[in-house]
Order: sequence, then structure tokens, then C-alpha cells
Amino acid sequence: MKLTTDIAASKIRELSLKLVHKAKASHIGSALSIADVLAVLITSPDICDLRQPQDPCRDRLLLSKGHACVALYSALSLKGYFEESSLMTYGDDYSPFMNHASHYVPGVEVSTGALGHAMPIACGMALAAKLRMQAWHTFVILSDGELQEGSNWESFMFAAHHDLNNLTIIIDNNNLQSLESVDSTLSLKPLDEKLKAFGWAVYIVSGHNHNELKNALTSAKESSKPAALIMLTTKGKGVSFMENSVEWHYKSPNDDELSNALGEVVLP
Amino acid sequence: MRNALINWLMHKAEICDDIFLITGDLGYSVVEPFAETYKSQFLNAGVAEQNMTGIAAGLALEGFRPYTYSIGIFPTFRCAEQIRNDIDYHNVPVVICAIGSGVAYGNLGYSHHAIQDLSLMRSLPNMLIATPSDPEEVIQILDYQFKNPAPLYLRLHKAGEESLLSSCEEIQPGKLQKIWPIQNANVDDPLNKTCILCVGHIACKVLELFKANGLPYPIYTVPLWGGVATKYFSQQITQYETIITVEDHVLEGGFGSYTLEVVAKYRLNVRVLPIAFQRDVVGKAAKEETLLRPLIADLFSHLESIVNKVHT
Repeated sequence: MKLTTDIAASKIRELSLKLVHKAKASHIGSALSIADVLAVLITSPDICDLRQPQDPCRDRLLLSKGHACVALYSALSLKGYFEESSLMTYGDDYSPFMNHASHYVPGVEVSTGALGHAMPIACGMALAAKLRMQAWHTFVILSDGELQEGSNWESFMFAAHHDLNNLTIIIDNNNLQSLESVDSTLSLKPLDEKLKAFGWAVYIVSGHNHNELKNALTSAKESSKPAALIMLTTKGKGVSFMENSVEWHYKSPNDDELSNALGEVVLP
Repeated sequence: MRNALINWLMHKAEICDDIFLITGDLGYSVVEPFAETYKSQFLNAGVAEQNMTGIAAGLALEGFRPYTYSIGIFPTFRCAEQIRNDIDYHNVPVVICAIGSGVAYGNLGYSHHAIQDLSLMRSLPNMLIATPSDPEEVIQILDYQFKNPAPLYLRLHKAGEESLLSSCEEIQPGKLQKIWPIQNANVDDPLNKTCILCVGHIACKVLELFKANGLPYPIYTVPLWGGVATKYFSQQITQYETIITVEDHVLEGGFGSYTLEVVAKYRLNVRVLPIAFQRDVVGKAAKEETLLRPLIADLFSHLESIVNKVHT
């Protein structure tokens, strides 16, 4: 069966839910809100060509919001980088599938978990590609709350100054962070204007509309500037009782909640 | 020492285009020859150490050999998490170069005093600690790291340091380099059961005093050390009954602390007398020589008590 974006998104949500349930882990809301963009990225080699984990020509995909790792692990599992049985060791003692993105997992470029780390690394990678005149592209998925970390803004300045148009960032703008909304915690508004003022090409898209995502990512890659997708998303997307709720930044579904959630995300 | 670094980089960049120097907007009148000669292998990242360090990690992950350059504690403390998570955890061969070790920038005040950096850096599991005492050791350390790619913290003084004519044997992590006396000492002399271990530029000060006073104790520098080198280091020090460590760093977590940990770990029958800054150095701005004076006084006090003990 061909892996369409719809099927991939559904599988990423299904696997992510099963993983956090099994490990009694947190952050399912953050994983569900990036399931769609990951589905687009792993099924669109013309946009993001992940090839094999060590292929020097692969596009680099970094997850800065490392707490949403179950979505990335699930996506990489669908790419066939490892068996689903390995994925299911997630959360076990000494498993390489740690509860934050782990570079011991094939296809995970860098370990993350502390916020504000992937942007500088991605700048180094994008710079390396430019210096070596290589065509691969670097993608970074960030949360909106983590933009409160100053390191990101150091990188935003750097990327524009050095014309890193081989760098695309995808901001998961679900407007919920650890305790409450981003707007009420430390507002980023106007985020699009700020990024434009920093010299970036900015695309505002629905983070759950696959066609919009594909079109914006294609345009972003063709931009003469480093590009940012501000992806308007719903935290917990796809599971009605998890949507837009801070509670599901922490809570792990019990058996009944898992069953109900799977009923909503698994395709008929 | 900083000139030795730049000259080494100039030489190496000529034969290796993976060499990449990144400065955090420092190095006036030092980095220019490199920047002008190897434009595509040089970057001024601006006053942004977190980004500079992350960029170095990214470049290293792509096969480059990056060297970050700044002064004091700027390339370590401000970006400690980037060093911990992005460089050390991923075990990529970035060399973090800090100019102005200890209180080299004495009059500039506490913001510029690098007196807790060893403590921070040596707690990282993959990080080798490099504390050269003269320009020759800088070159040897850089050669070693180039052949043995791993994260390295290079703690440099400034410029104009004299050669100590250390034994010039090939540097290895944990190895002692003898700088005084040059000839072999009489091992039966009870005084030779004591040695002095120095890290960094302070070795020059200690050597000057020993030469001037004709003191017989052996002095060693320890240019390269860290968590991976404890065993070899323990084998080197076990021949002594008393070891005096001297460093321009606070005691907590520094080289004396490292030596004490090694003695405890390998249950050596060695007494360690660590000489390091007391907390009262904090907040004092003065010439380096002035700020180092209490350390030298402590050293003489220890030596006097050892001599008295031997003669009574």
C-alpha cells in the first residue's frame, strides 16, 4: 500500500499514542501537532529526501522540540529505518528510544531536549553544505514556546546574514506551552513580522493541511532567503479530548483513553 | 600561546580544508592573518557564543574540524549547555579555545577571570582538558587532538610566554612533562619524594622562583588531562610521597581537586597539597602578578614545612 500523507499522518498519530501509553510518557499533545508536517516530509522526497540515515546527500531533518520525539521516531519507523519492534522499546530502561530525541536512533540527526539547541547546529550544517557546494537542505522543526530561548534569535540573525537559503524552519505554532498559552506567557507577536525583519522569508500555513504544507515547503526551498513556515496548529490535533489542552502536555493516556484516541486517529 | 595557536592553524589549514576557525568577535591583532588567508575557513560569529558553539557542533557533525575562539569564560560558561549537549554528548571534535586563563586579564575584573572553567569543563565525560604552559605545548596538544579527534578544551594564557623547554616528549593525556631540574635528581634524597605539578601559565612563575632559589624539587607540567586519563596519570604520580599542585583556578573542581580524586580512586599512598585560589580572589581586580602572589606564598609555605620535616 502506497504511503500517502493521510496514511502516514494517521500511522504517526497511532504509533505515538501507543508509545506514550506504553511508557506512561508525557508530551503526546506536542507530538500530535506535528504529525501532519512529518507525514508530508517523509512522503515527499522532492521536498525532503531523507534517503538513508548516513547518506551524505540526504536532507537533514532536526527536531528542536525534542520532547515530541515519539512523532519523529514513528515517522522514521515508517521510513523503514528500523523495525517497529525496536520502536516499541521506547521508554524501556536503556532503550536508545529515549523520551527525548536521541541520536542513538537511526535517522535522528541530533539529540535534543533542552530547547533552543537545534537552530545553531542547523546553521552549522547548512553552512557546511554551502561551503562544500552540496545541494542537500536542512529542515528544523521548532515549537513556538521555545522561541523564547535567545539562542534561536542568535541563529535567526546568523542564517540571514550568511544567506543560508538552504535552511527551512517549521514552527509549530500551537500557542500552548508548559503552563499556559504562549500569548499569555511571553508573547511572540508579531512573529511573522519579527522573522521578516530578521531577513527571513515567512510562510503562514495551516499545519494540518497537507497540500498547503507541501506548497509552502516547496516555495520555502526555492526562496533566496532562509525560510520559516509558521505552522498554525492545534496541540493534540486528531484526538478531540486532547486538543488545545495543557493537560496533555504531561498526561499519558490510560487504557480507555488510548482506545478512544485510536478510534479517532486510525483510518477506517 | 595564542600566536602559537594561530600559526598552527595557518599551517594546518594549508593542508586541510576541514580546519575552520570561528571567533566570537574577539582576537583583534591575532586572528587576522588566518581570516585573510583562509577566508572560506574563517567566521566571525559575532557576540553570540551559544550560536557560535552550536554552529561548531553542526560543522563538526558534517566532517569539519572547528576551533571556537574567545576570551575568559565567554566560550565556556555562556554556552555551557551547547558544549555539554551538542559537542560533548555527540562526541564531535571541536576545540574550544579560551584566551586569558586564570587572572590573565587581572585588572579587567571578575567578569574576565577564568577561574572556574576547569571545574565546568572537566565534568564533561568526553572532554579532554588542555592546559599548556608554553607555546611548544600548545602545538603538541593541537597535533595530538588533530590525530585523535575528540572534544578538547584548550585553556591558553595570552602572548609572549617563554619556552619552558619541557621534556618535549610526545604529549599524551595524563602524562607529566618535566621542566625542572633538567638533570635527573638523586632519588635517594628525601626531598625528591616531593614534586610540583603545574597546569598552565603559572608553571612559568613557579619555574622562575625555583631557578632563582636553586630549589631541588622536580616540577612537571600536565598539558593534557581529564576524566579519560586518570589511570595513566595515577601511574605517573604514584612514585611520589607528596605532590603539590599549583593552578590559577579555584580549588573546587580544578586540577588539585582532580589529583585528589585520582589519589582516592586508585587508593594511592600520596599526599596532595593543592594550591589554588581562595574565594577571596573574587571581586579583586589587579595585575595578574599581584593576584598570583598568594599562590606563590602558599607554595613556599608548603615547601618550608616539608624541608623542616625532613631536617628534624
